[in-house]
Amino acid sequence: MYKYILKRLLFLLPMMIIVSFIAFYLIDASSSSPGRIILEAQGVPEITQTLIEETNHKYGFDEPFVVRYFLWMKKAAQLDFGKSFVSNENVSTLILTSFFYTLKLTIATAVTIILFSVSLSVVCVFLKNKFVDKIIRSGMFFLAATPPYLIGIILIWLFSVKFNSLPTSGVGDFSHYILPVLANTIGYASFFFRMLRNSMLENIHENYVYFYRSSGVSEKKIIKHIIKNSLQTAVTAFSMAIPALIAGTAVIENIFAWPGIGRLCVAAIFNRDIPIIQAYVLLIGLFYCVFNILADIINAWINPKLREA
Amino acid sequence: MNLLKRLSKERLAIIPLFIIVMVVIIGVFGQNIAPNDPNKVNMALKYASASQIFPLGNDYLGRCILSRMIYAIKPSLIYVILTMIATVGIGCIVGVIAGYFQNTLDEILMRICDILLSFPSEAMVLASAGIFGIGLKTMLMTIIFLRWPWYAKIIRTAVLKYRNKNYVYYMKAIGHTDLRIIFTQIIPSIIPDIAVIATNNINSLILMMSGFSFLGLGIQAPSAEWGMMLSEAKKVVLTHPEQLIAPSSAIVLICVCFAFLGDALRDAADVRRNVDDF
Repeated sequence: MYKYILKRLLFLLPMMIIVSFIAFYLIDASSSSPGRIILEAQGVPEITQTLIEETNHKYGFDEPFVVRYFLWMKKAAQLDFGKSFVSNENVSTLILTSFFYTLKLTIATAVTIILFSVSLSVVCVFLKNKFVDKIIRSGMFFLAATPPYLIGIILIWLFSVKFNSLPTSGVGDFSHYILPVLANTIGYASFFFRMLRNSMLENIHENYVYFYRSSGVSEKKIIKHIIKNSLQTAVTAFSMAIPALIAGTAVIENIFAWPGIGRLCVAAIFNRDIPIIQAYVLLIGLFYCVFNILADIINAWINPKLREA
Repeated sequence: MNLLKRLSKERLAIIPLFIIVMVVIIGVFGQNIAPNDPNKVNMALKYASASQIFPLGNDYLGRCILSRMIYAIKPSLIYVILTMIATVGIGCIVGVIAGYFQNTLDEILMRICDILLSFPSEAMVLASAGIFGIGLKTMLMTIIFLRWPWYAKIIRTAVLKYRNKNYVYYMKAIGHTDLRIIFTQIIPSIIPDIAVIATNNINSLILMMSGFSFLGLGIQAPSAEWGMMLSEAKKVVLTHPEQLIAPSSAIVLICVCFAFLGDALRDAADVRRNVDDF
C-alpha cells in the first residue's frame, strides 16, 4: 500500500511541472505581445510600439522564455504571482481570499449533495418501482436536464419576489449560504443520485445478499451492507466532486454575487488580466491533480486489487 | 444497421429523436422560418406579450423572442452537436489506432491522453477565453482539444474487446489488410458503444456551453444564444419573470430529449438487459 501511495505521489511531480508550464505559457500563447495586453488591460488610450517595448522591459518580458519561466516558478513557489495588470493588487491575496470563499461554498455543497443523493437513492432502491421511486426518478431526470444557473435564477425569483425572505447575493452569515448551496445541490445531485441508485441495484443481486438472506440475517443488516458496498464504488466520484465543483462553480458565483474564484476569473477574462488567470489555472490544476491522486489512493485502500496496477 | 433497427422498436426513442431532428432542421433553415428580424430593436414593444406578429412576445429591446430563439438554435445546439462529432471523431481515430496496433505509439498516445485529462475542462475553457479572447469558436476548439482523450480511452478499451476475436484473426490469416479489418469489422462493432456515450454526454456539453454563454463568454451580442437569452432575462427576473420561459424551456426540452434518447440507445445496444429489468 505504501508503495502504491509513493508511486502515485511521484506521478504528481511531473503533473505539477506540466500544469505550471501551461499556466505560464498562457501569456505567450496569445497572438499579441504581452506588453500590448498589459497596456490594453490598463486602459492606456494610445499604444505605440515604443510604449509596448518599454512595458515589455518593465515587466521583464524581453527575457528569454525559459529564464522567465524559472523566475516565475521560483516566485510561484512562494505564492507570489505578481501583480494584477488592472488594479495592481497582489494576485496571491486576491486569489487566496476568493479561493477560501469558493472552498467554503464547495464544501457545504459537497456535504449536502452527498446527504441528498445518498438518502434519496436509498429510498428509491428500497421502494423500487413504487410510486415514490417513480416520482423521485422523474424529478431527477428533469433536474439533470436543467442548467444549475436556471435553478439559481428561479430560486432568486422565488425567494426575493415571492417570499422576500433570504439574501440573494453576497456573503455574510449562514443564511447567505442557503440559496447558492441549494442551487448547486439541485443542479449537480442528479448525477450522483443516478450513479448511486444503479450501483445499489447492482449490489442487490450480488451473491452475498442471497447468502445473508438465506442464513436469516435481518433485512436491516442486509440493507446496511448494500449501502456500504455501493458507497465504495461511489467514493471516486465523491472525491472528485470537490475539485469539479470548484472549477464549475463560476456561473453560480456570478448569479449570487459570491466573491469566489470563479467570479474573479471571469472578471479577469473580461479585463484580460492574465496574472490572475495564470494563478487560477495553476491553483485549480494542482487541486485537481491532488484530488485525482487522493481518489486513486482511497480506491486502492478500499479495493486491494487495484494496488497492483 | 442493427442498432437503428432495435432503436426503432423503442417507442420512447422515436419521439425525442423526432423533436431533436425537427429543432435542428428549424435551426438550419432559420433565416427562412423566423417570422421577424431577430436583431431589430423596437423600443415601443419592450416586454410586449405574445401577439400575432410576435408569437412569443418581445424582449427588453423589443426584439422578437421567437425569431431570436430560432436563430439561437445554431450556436446553442447545432454547433454543440458538431463539436461532439469532431471530439468523438478524433477520439475514434486515436482510440482505434492505439487499441488495434498496440505498439509504442499506443503508449505515447495514452500518456498524452492522461496528461490532457488531468485538466479540469471548465477551468481550461475559462483560461483559453482569457488568452485567445472571448468567443464561441475559442470555447468549442478548447473543448475539442480537451475532451478527445476521454473518448480515445473509451474507444481504445472497446477496440481491445474486439481485436482478439477469431474472425479478426481469420481475416488476417486470409490476407486482408489491417485497414480493411478496421473498417469492416472493428469500427462497426464499436459504433453502438460510441453512440451511447456520445448521446449521454452531449447534455453536459449543451449545459456547459449555455453556462459559458450565460456568463457572456460565448457568442457575442447581438447574436442570440439560449444561455445568453437567459442571462438577459435574468437581469429583469424581478419585474418580468416570464422572459425566462422561452429560453429555459428550449434548453430543458432538448436536454430531456437527449437523455431519453441516450437511455433508449443504451437499452437497444445492451444485449444483457440492464439491471432495472430484473
